[in-house]
Amino acid sequence: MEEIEKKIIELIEEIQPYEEFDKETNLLEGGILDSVALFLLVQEIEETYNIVIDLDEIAKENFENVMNIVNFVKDKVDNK
Amino acid sequence: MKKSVIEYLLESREKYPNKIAFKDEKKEITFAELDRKARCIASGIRKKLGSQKNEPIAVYMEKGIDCIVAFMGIVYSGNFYSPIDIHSPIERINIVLNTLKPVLILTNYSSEKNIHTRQLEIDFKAVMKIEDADSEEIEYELEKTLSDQLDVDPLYTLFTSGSTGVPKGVVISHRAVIDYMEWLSDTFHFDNNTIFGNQAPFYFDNSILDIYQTIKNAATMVIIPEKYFMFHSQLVDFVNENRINTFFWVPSALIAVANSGVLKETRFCTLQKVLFCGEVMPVKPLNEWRKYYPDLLYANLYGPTEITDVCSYYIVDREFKEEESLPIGKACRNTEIIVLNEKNELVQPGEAGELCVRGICLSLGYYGQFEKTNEVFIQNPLNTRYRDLIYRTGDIVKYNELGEIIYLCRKDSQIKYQGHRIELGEIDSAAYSVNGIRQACAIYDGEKIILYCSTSKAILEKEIYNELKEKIPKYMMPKVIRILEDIPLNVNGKLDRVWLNKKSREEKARS
Repeated sequence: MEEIEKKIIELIEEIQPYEEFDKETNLLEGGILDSVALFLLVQEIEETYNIVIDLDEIAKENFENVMNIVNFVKDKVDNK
Repeated sequence: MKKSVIEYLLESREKYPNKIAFKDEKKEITFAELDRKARCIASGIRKKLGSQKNEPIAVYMEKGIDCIVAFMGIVYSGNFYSPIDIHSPIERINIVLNTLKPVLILTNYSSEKNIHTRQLEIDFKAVMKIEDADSEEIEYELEKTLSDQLDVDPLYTLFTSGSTGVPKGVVISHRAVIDYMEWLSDTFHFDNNTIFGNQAPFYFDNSILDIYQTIKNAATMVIIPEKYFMFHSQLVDFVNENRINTFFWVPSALIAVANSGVLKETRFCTLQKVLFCGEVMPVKPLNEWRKYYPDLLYANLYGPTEITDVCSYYIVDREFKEEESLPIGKACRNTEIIVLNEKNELVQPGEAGELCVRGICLSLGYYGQFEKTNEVFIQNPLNTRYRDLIYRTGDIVKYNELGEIIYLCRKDSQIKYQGHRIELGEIDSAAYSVNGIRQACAIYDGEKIILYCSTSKAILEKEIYNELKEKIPKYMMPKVIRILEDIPLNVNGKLDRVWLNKKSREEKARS
């Protein structure tokens, strides 16, 4: 879990190197993940964990904050 | 002949009083109700202002139906509106308000808090909530206001990025919008069955098409919540649920849909027309759309805010290879496009030149900035006999062998990013106001904005970024900040953007 969290934060920081956020920051309302950044992040996650994220999984509840993303990715990896 | 856009509203209200005109995520409004609410607001405005007319009134609200109600109320009162991007940093909003000097600021209950918690440089007595006007008695004198209205009077002012850091307020008349609306209906056959899926923010002039075609044709406009442009599977559901059949979006939004994979996996069931404007539409994503939706009407529209949204168009009528450019086509009705070379002569076939526009579509100028206005709204150099204004767009174009106009590049450092018009100079000037910055120059590498700077004290990229956030909107924020020892000057003594462009290309090639 912590591993995934570290990696997700790292991936977001690569896309948005100057933004400040923590596990609970709303990435969507804060504008840290705009449509371009979200697109990049989804690609990076797919590559890193060798998973396929379905279209209807790209939804607010899975990408709103770091915690949501971590839980979502963990589920995906576990059920691979 | 019509002289006010309000006449469109009156006609639609007569014919279809109970038809839904506008709809957002929370509520909807019929033509009759829109007309009634707008008259109430106008009466409230006139109570405050008396019979003053042609005064600027700012609309400070979260995007939604209430904005449209406010716009119409302001028009009924004989004044003109200017929508404020309330998500912009406060410094920039204050610059806009200080330029516009609105006599009133309209807001609603849900956006009012935003006004009071931010340090807006306004007179709070001039703030009016539209809900408070709802019980106003409607003044019969409104009819007189309307009959006193001239078609050359301003309808709205939209602010666009300015290279010196001060946004420019583009003033547009009723006549220009009416001329544009008549052409649109005739060309694209919008009618009362049209359901627009609105993407454009109201401070961006693409929204003029959706709003006024809806009012003119008794059509329906559904405001698509911004979040759906990130979550495309839900976007498709929303479009289908609302039976949206017409898009007029920026290419970025259509490209994102094409890249998301929804075209292949699901279906926009009711879609018929896809129009786009605001930036270059690359052929690759357009072909992706055409592959899954071969029978839709696709149209590439072109034009800056200064000529009332659109001055040329191309209805896609043939196949394009990925390396080809989609034409911006030919001039709209009652509009002329002339392409001038550096000697101010008409270009020869194949020669590149600056696109200039003639017609009633021309803006009345930049609000309160005559000097800036006179730089780009100039006497037609081909006419030495009488007054004949053209607008110099700064866009470099050429004609292809079919006589269609092809966009090539800008002659200055204006860019389009995600459909937003940005003067890189505005980013520079914001960066210069950050304490510790000695030189600053923003460039665009085709994908992202990079800010190069040199500093007079130790300062971190992150600190520069956080200060910039207080000055410019999110869409202008650089994705990368690079601190250099020194930025070389060009022969004119200015920071050498060409050198920086080369540097960024080298860095991109290395990564």
